[in-house]
Amino acid sequence: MRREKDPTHGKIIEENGQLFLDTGTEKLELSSELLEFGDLKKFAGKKVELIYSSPQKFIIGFRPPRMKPILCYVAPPFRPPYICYLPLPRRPPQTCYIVARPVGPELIQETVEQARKDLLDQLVEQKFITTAQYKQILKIKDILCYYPVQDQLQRVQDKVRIEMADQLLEQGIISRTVYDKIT
Amino acid sequence: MTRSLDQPLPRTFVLELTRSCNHRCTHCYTVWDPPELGYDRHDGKTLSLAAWKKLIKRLHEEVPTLENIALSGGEPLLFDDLNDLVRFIVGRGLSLVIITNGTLLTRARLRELLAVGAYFEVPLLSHRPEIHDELTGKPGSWAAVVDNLANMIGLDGGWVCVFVATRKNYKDLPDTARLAIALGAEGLMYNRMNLGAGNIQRAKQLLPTPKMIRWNLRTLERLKDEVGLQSAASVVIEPCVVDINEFPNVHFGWCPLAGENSYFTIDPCGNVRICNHSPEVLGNLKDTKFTKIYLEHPYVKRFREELPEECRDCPPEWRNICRGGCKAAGEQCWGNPEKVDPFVTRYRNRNTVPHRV
Repeated sequence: MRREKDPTHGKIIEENGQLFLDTGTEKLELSSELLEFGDLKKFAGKKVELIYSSPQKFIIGFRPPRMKPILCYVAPPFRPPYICYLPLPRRPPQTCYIVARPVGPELIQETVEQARKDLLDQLVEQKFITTAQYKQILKIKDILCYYPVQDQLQRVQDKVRIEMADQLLEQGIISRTVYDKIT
Repeated sequence: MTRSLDQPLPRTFVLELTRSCNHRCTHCYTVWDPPELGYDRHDGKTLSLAAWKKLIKRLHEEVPTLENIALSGGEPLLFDDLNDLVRFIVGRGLSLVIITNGTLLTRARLRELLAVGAYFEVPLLSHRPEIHDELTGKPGSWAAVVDNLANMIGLDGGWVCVFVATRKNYKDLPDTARLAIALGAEGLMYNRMNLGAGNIQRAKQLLPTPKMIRWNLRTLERLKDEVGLQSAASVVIEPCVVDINEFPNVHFGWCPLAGENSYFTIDPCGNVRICNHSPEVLGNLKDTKFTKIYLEHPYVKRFREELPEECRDCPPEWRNICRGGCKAAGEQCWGNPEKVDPFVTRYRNRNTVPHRV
């Protein structure tokens, strides 16, 4: 969703005890349900990468390997919603579980701790993790982070989509003009 | 007024911005056209942009659970101040979808609406122009909608394809779905034709049979497996007519029974109905509070509680979620929401196609 003129980076600043994301053109208050203010404050003065997104559902999960954690965000619907990619910790935890599936609104409305527990309960139930791992993970507090997941609805992969467009063009169902636009 | 704790407030409303439409769909069930539904008696002054804003603000304050607004019509793109209204709704933190036939959604219009936060639901009724145009009653509509939807990818817009299944187009679902995917649809809403209003007299020609619906559902299952296309059947497909257990990849919708998942509908004059299919006006938001209607109106209470007689022998696991299918279709066809969905009457009991009496 990024437009050409939108900034790619911003800076976390602290003013009067509050944290803001300074994009150069806007100053937006940061919210984080995940970190205590004191922890979030450590990022003051840091440059962050910005990504642009439509309002979308988030899942609470654990950081998959090589993925940057998203520790806070400027909540939608204020456009453009920014998500701050904060720097990776120097030594990422080795215990990483990939959790990437849509969640219902009932989960994201819970408190973080409750949501985390609910999620773990579901993971055990679905045999993604064992009960022993469950107990171990519960002790690890600092790897909890938000991941933006695609809404339940998402486009079919581009490769497949374009294959279909090729077939439709060949069958004469769509015109060359339409084909050119969608590929 | 004290709010009943066991009746959570709804999260979604449908706003019918205008009765005007540039299509004449054969399967249309808008309640205001057929004179026998007597909707004209509810005519009043249509709401201006300012009046809609005031109504939405009041509604949002009164219904704090409100999360989603769907803009419908008629054709919502014929509402003069659509961009301003969309901006206002999104600015209140509400998610928004515009239910449009897509023919007026030109590149310029799409760009404007995307900039203010719109998402779209657009019907694509066939991959064959002549079938789509026959069903919409508008020559050239297929070419216009396909050309317009082709802009979605470049502008990074999101849309869901609506396929209304009738006898005329059900065979086209596989290729139509492929077309929708190629045009960037993020999902497919499969609606079997729902009986009501002007389409009742065309039921014999249009209403798909259970066999046709099963064939379509198998297509949706396959598309999910093969390419990951998400699909949902929004109009109730009653389990006594089609065994929906065979289709685990399709999300099946049920009548929300005027509860928290319902989508109460507000017409261009501010009249409230239980849903966009129901002809029964419950009051006008210009002079009545929504919560009063929601919690106290006798029609709403009946709508929630009554179970059609034909459904009483249904196994409870189905009975409790299906509750007789689309009650609004029962209301439209039989004049009574306590009657079973006419789709069931037609295909389970092998009765004749219902006609409103």
